[in-house]
Amino acid sequence: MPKKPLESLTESMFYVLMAFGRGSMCGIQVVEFIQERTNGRIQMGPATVYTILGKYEQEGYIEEIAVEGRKRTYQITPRGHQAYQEEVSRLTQCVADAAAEVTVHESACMATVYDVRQDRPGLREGGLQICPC
Amino acid sequence: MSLLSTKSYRLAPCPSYDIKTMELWLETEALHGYFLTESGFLFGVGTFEKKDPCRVRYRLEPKEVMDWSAESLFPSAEARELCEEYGWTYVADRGKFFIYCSETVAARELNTDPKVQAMALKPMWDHASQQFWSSLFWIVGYPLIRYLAGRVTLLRMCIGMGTWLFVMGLAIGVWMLIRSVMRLSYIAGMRRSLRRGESFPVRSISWSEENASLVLQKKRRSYWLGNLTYILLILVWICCVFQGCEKELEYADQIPLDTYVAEYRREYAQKYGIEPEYVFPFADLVELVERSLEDAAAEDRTDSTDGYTDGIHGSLSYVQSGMYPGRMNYVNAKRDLLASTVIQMNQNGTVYLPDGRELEGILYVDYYDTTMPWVAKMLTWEYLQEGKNNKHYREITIPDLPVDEAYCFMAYLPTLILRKGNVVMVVELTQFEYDEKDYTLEPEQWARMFAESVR
Repeated sequence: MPKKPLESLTESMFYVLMAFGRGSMCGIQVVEFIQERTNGRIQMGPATVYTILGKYEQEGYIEEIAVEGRKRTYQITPRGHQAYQEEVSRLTQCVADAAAEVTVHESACMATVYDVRQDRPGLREGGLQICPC
Repeated sequence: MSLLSTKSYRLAPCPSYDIKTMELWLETEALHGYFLTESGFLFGVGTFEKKDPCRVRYRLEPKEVMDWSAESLFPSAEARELCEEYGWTYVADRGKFFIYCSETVAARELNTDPKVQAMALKPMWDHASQQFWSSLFWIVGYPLIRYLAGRVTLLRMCIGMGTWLFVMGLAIGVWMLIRSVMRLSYIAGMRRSLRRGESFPVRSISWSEENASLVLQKKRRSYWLGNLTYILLILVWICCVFQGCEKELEYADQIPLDTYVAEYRREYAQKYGIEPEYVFPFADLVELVERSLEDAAAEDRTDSTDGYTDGIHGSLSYVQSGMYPGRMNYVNAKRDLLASTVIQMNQNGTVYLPDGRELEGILYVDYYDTTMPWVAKMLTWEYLQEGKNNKHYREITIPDLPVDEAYCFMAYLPTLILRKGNVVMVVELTQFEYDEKDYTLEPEQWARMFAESVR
């Protein structure tokens, strides 16, 4: 049976793959990159990092290229790069869908407000409050 | 420098996989001034060092490698490097976990993504489920397959070793499985919570610094009580089984036939004031010959069979030493929960007939007077299956016998299995025929006689 790839990446897993876009890195550099990239929003724990690195190495997303003392340096593989691109596409699509939904929803809200105001002429502009969002 | 040892040994309050309790316990101990040392744990007993109390965070990290290799003894250099960089020091391990501690309040958590943490628990889950399935197979599956194939005689083994000992072994097996299931379900629960983005579940306890010691003490008591009972039960069971094996090897339960007969007669006479008509609830070699001669006399239409069997006497060569010590002419009688009387009798000798002929043979009887009909039925089935599995099995057809079930076959030796009500009897009779002087009985003949002799 072929090995099942990682179904979806968590936020931290996604950022670890993103880090390798900058080039080869060791675990500490990955943590620093993520902290810098997210302006400190994501503070990744060391156990989380080495679990992800271990998992990615096992999946063939990254490969070890150098061992210096206790430090291991990895680089992204084509398979890892593909997984990253797929995740970026998925997230982009998610964001696009969300943006489209916001536009549709806003139009619907405006129409509702208009109808309400026509039905009840006494209603002030504050009629927007009837929108569930 | 203090000459007094600052080392202290403390009992863990829970199994290693109860991660949250373990962490809280270690932190509570640190608050009381006891810090886990590098010596770690041995059979659930931790080595601690007394220092000034302080607040320390402990975290348990599942090992990546779950076997007994060197890799599983220490965390990888990379993991240590990363942890140290962020203020976490590796202390020791317990079971399938590495234990890290941090005295720095500001040190970020070791795990910041619960879903990734659930991923880290995967090897542990695999290991626990592997253990569970292998226990299930060896404790339930394999014996059941062997039993259904007639390769294992469970009930016979049960009565043979003693029902209580068998049940005790069964209880240990079931307990082993329950422990395995508990471990598995706990790990599954942890992984589920983590996958949902929640933290570790804590088993039905409300924690606070004030009640921590009390809660831990309660947990410790129940954990060790369970563990010690389990270990004690296993030790007692092993000792009993070894003792039974030793007895078997030394033939300690085997009473010489003549001693048994004399003792039985004496006790019977003392109790009832008369001599017993029979010693065994089935025919022995002498009675077998008597019955065969009576039958022959009846067929010859002899006017009276009285006195026909007079003069028969057995010369049962009681071989108690020499080549087969304890293997010939013995009786092993006992009681059991499933069978009120269990007799194993071996009789080897020659019966001299009045006309000068001789029956020389070896009789082996397993007799069970069971307490319940289903036990008798199952025991009969087991013996039959065992016989059928013999590559020399050859069925011998015998006409209707005055019993509920009867099977006769050749399997190395001519064997007869009888069930009459709750009584099960397995008879093996070997007869030697060297010349025309020797007297032998056909299987149909002796099978009928044994069936009629069941008392």
